[in-house]
Amino acid sequence: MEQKEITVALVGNPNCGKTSLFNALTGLNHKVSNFPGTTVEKKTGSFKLSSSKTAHIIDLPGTYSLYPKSADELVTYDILRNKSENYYPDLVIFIADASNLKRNLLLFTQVADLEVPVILVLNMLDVAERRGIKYDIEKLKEKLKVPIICINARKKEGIEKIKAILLDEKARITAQFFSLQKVNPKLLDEIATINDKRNKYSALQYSINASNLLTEKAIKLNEIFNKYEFDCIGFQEDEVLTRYQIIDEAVKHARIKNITQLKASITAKVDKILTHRYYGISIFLVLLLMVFQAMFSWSEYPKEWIEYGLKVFTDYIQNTLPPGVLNDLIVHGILAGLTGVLIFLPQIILLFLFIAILEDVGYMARVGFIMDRIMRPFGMNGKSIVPLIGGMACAVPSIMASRSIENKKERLITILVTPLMSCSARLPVYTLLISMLLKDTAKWGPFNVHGLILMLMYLIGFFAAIMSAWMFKFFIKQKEKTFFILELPGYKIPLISNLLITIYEKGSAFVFGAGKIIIAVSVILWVLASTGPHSNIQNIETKYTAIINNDTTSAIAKKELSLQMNSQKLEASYAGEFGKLIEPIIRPLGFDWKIGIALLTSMAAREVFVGTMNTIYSVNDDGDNSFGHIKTKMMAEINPRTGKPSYNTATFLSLLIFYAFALQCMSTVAIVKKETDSIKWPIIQFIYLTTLAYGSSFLVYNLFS
Amino acid sequence: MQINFIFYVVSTLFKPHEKANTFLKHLSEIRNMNRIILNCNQMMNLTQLNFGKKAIITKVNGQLLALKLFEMGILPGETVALSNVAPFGDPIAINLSESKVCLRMQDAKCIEIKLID
Repeated sequence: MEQKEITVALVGNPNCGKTSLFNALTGLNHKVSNFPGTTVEKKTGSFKLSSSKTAHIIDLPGTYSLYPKSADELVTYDILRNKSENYYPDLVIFIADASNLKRNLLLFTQVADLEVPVILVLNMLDVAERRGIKYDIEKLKEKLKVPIICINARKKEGIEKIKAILLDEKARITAQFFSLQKVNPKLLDEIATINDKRNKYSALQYSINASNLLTEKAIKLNEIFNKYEFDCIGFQEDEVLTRYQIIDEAVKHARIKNITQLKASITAKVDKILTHRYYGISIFLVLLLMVFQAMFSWSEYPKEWIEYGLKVFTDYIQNTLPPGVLNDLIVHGILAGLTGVLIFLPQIILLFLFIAILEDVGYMARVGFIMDRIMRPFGMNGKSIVPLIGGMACAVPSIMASRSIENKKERLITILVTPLMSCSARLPVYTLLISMLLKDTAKWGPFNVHGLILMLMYLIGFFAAIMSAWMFKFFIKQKEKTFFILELPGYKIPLISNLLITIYEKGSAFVFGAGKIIIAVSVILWVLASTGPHSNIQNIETKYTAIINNDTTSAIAKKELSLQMNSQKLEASYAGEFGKLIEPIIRPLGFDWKIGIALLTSMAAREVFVGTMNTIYSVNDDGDNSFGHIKTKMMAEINPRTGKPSYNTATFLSLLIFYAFALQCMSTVAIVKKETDSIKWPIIQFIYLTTLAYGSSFLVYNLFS
Repeated sequence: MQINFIFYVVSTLFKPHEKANTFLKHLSEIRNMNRIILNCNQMMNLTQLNFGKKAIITKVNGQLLALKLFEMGILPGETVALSNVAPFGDPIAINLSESKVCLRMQDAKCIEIKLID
């Protein structure tokens, strides 16, 4: 019977045009998620082969070899090895970069030896030809014994040929390259009794990998290996070299002409400048400045449009739905949360547009190259600099961007310290606090002191990030041994379709991945701020509504009264209770329960601090002037316990430091949970940053008071 | 160099528990090393390669590292040339016959090379 659906796996080295081919085959008809239990990105899609047949395609992570050393390789290996695996393919499309055929074919022979049908797709033949390399495909077929198709993934040429061969069931051929002759057959038999696999090569491979684990099986396997004096790594080295010999023979057989002496390619010329000792770093810093600038200021306009659009929508809902709990829940809980999610989209899109361009051009690998020495002592990778600088605009997209760091430990450290970089949401808080600290006109030489303190805050954040990274280096254990060996691919012009698809993927990953958590937390915060343990809230509301609705009260008084009502309602709410509850804990930092409330509501986003303070001090939030009002009111506040002003320089400094370090951003927590695929790391991060903030604030408060 | 070899041979001889084939392997290794030394007087590693010079990889040390390097196409017999050096002198980028790869100095030390004219 003919199959209606077939499963195809796409395998290949990094930078061989795998993503372009995947996009050309599926278009937007695909999903991005993680492989269960890992942070390895899984892309699945489907496309029609004929009117009655569909192909499901899974894009496996780009790797150089099948030895399961890293999580990426393990995922690829597990799927191709295990016939009972959900994604086990009917056929593997192996895409190879023809300009670097030898190395690409190493993985190809390893995949073929797992006895899964393979077709070989040769891409980038144009690049190879420009380098003077040309192959006789028929001769290559003779040696490799599998169907070969030549395509140009960037120009979408040859895609139909792939679809045609997927329909042809006769073309599903397995090939074998490496033989286990040198290995003691008794050893293989014994291993087969432990790992019941039909394929001896795969069983041996699997056993070598499993013998590194601390399981009972591993001990048994090690015993067998010792019995036969089998040197695992030696065998692997030998295997790779043998494969290269086989490949070398095939490639030499099929090669038409070979010009070794070539003029310096464009890539070499560009690299001379972009990785130059002085120009290299300067160019990179200028590019980074542009990215930062874009995230910081260009995103303001679309942010305003989104805010405005949602405000119109919210007002409409508020006015059409009957007033009551449901209305409040939708308006202040769900829609407020939705705004909180969508507001990040412009920054995510801009950052990923830049990163996708840099990645597609081939520049990101160079960033890793030129920054590696600087970042290495701090347990990070050259590529960590991008999330760190991006964190000065917003930690959320930056943490998503850390995916480009291959090394797990370095990536985790980068994720953990990125929230310490002062993000744009801290800016309104800093501005408010600094303006309370000093007069607007304060000058120090030619500089405005406000600006200097602001810059100091950014520097403090940066140094805290670097030092924390250095510290984490000693605490985070690394299971897999990895090396910083990076391919520097040739420069290419990015494909607009690929860029758009990347942005679409990242945007939807954020909205549907982290968005759920953000909306849920927003609803919880709303419940906390609008309901209280006692019936006080109701009483306050009835009391004030009665006066406000009284016709004799003047319009100005009405406004003032409604502000007072909100302030008292907040105090009576769970949030108010929470503020009072934590007051003893935060008192050593110089904070009272009012700031306690603001600390809680800031979890929605740090800038909410300003709004909450407005509500508490019943200041009308009329934009520019509210800073002045709230400043006057806060400065006039007298602490009932000491009889002195509640807030002084020490309080404000302590608050500034607290906001610089604390992880008061549920969106960050949500994205860290998603990106690390664990609850452990966001919790550790939250505890670490809160402790750091508390400790530093305590120090600062006691030093200055 | 010579003293090293004598030490090598002697230490191998005085380990009777080692299998005879291991001994033979060592001998053939020594022969190989001697041949290299006879052919060119200096043994170099990749960190000593200068711009504009070409070399052939003779040996890759370090077990797991070697495996990783092989996978990236850095294997004995391949021609290498220095392509770029990062701003602080580390890492370096090298040109292989078909690709360009960057690696840290500590890893480059494990790659033994022989200059070619």
